[in-house]
Amino acid sequence: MPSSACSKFLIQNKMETEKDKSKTRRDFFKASALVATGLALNAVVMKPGRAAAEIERATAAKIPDPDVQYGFAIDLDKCIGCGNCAKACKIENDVPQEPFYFRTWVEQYVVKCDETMKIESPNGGIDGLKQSVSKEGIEKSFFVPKMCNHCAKSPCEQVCPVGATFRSPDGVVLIDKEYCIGCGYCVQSCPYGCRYISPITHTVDKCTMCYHRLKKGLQPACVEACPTGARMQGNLRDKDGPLVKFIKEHNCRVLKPHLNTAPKLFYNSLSEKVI
Amino acid sequence: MPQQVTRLLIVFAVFIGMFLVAAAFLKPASFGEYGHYRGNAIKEIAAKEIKFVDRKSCANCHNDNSDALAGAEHALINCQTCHGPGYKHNQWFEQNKSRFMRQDPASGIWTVDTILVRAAKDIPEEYKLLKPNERDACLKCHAINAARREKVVRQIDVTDHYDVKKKCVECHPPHAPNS
Ligand code: HEC
Ligand code: HEC
Ligand code: HEC
Ligand code: HEC
Repeated sequence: MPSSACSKFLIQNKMETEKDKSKTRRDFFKASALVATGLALNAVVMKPGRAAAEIERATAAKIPDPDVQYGFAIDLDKCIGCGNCAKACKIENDVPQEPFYFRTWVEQYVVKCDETMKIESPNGGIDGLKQSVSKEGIEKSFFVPKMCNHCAKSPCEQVCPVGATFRSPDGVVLIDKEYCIGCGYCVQSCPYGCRYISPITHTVDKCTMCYHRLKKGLQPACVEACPTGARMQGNLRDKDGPLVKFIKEHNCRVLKPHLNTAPKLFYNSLSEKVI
Repeated sequence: MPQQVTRLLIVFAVFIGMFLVAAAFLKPASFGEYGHYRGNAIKEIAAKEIKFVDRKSCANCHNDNSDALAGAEHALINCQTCHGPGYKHNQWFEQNKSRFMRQDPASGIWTVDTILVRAAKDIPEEYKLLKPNERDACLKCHAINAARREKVVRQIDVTDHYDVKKKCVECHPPHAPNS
């Protein structure tokens, strides 16, 4: 449409030049500029989608953003073991459906009356965890969702021989799939068991805290899927933000603190039995 | 300088030169941008498409359902937790947008007409979302479990809750289960 309108204008302008020799080249450019602006404005008004996309780009997050440190918190009091987080994570991140591959999963801990403990996570809890010990035999029981701790001193990053695992400036531990050689050292070094070798790409894979969603202004898929608000993601540098507030106001702990990995995943009401 | 040292230095210089040339060709442009890794890897990861769409987007067309949900016990639950990821569902409407556009006669501005959208009945199967009305879908959250806190979610005994043969949705509308 713009080209045909322009050429029409050109023809018209030519005719005018013949009529009125005093019209200069400068005038022609001025007029062209006006027409072009008009067309552009018209296009924006006609297509609201385009204008919205423009605004979205302007407000999009910086990639990476060194001014933030992403962190995560899980309120174990609120977890009901429905497994919707694990299910949503698999869909969002194209994790293989077989029950050995998880970026996040939910475990049920059962402390029995005879002081023994049973920990189970059939299919990562995706089908909803079912109580497998009879009520009489249970002293206490609780759910613990697990995922990458995005450690500030991550062992997996240190053992990688090719530098494929790295910590982004915004504090998320990520994997460069093009560099990974699938040697599996990091799978062994992770104290939390959060990594697996993908049977499709034969490279290592794990939680990215849904980095692609964070950068589009959305919450991670597991947080979105949680029906009780047990999962929280946020910026640890934002001292008045909801995440820091939650960690301050609750008795939060991390997994395996003695390993000094500095996890950025905080649990409220974490039992001594899990650490 | 002894001859052998000079030769050694020449060999070293050649090797270092070869290394620098090879590094210049093989090193990706974005390597070292933020640290000892390929900077573009971050951007590639960030560029991945999303599948669970913005939770507010469903209300654009299903405001009756979202209104029902908002005031009820299931208000905290994302539509997509029950219905599955919405990207394909939304994609169909995006692709067929031209069908639903209407021009305002006064201003001449084209907008999506939600009445036209809601009347669409020909959505292909693969673009439809799940309707999880079987008992197991509800029991994932509501079956009795010692680890579930009663103050977070009410639980029922599956074998002894009114009519065990009926679907839950026959008695409890899923969006406002207590009404
Ligand atoms: C652009 C408008 C639009 C948006 C956005 C939209 N839907 Fe729909 N949806 C429809 C229409 C139209 C139908 C078809 C109604 C019918 O067939 O009776 C439908 C059907 C459905 C159905 C029923 C499918 C069936 O088999 O009958 C579900 C469930 C649903 N939508 C959920 C959602 C959820 C959840 C979201 C948010 C992720 C969403 N929709 C976003 C327009 C929309
Ligand atoms: C607790 C799970 C749950 C949540 C949360 C939920 N739905 Fe549903 N929804 C269902 C079930 C189950 C059905 C099927 C009802 C039936 O078969 O009678 C359904 C049916 C529907 C239908 C089909 C038409 C109808 O009204 O029966 C639409 C559309 C729909 N839901 C949209 C939504 C939207 C939009 C949201 C979010 C605002 C939402 N649902 C949240 C469980 C849920
Ligand atoms: C993803 C988890 C989840 C699913 C699936 C789910 N619910 Fe709920 N339901 C909740 C939560 C959380 C509450 C709010 C806390 C509460 O009161 O139990 C709730 C509340 C309720 C209540 C009100 C209890 C009360 O008196 O306060 C009923 C009834 C109910 N749900 C029935 C259903 C039915 C029927 C289905 C299946 C269509 C279903 N739920 C699916 C999580 C879920
Ligand atoms: C025959 C109808 C019927 C069916 C089928 C049914 N319920 Fe109910 N349900 C009720 C009634 C009536 C109440 C309210 C009774 C009360 O408050 O104690 C209730 C209460 C509940 C509550 C709240 C319990 C509480 O402690 O306040 C939940 C949760 C619930 N139902 C879930 C379900 C689920 C999940 C299913 C499917 C497995 C289901 N119901 C099937 C009739 C039914």
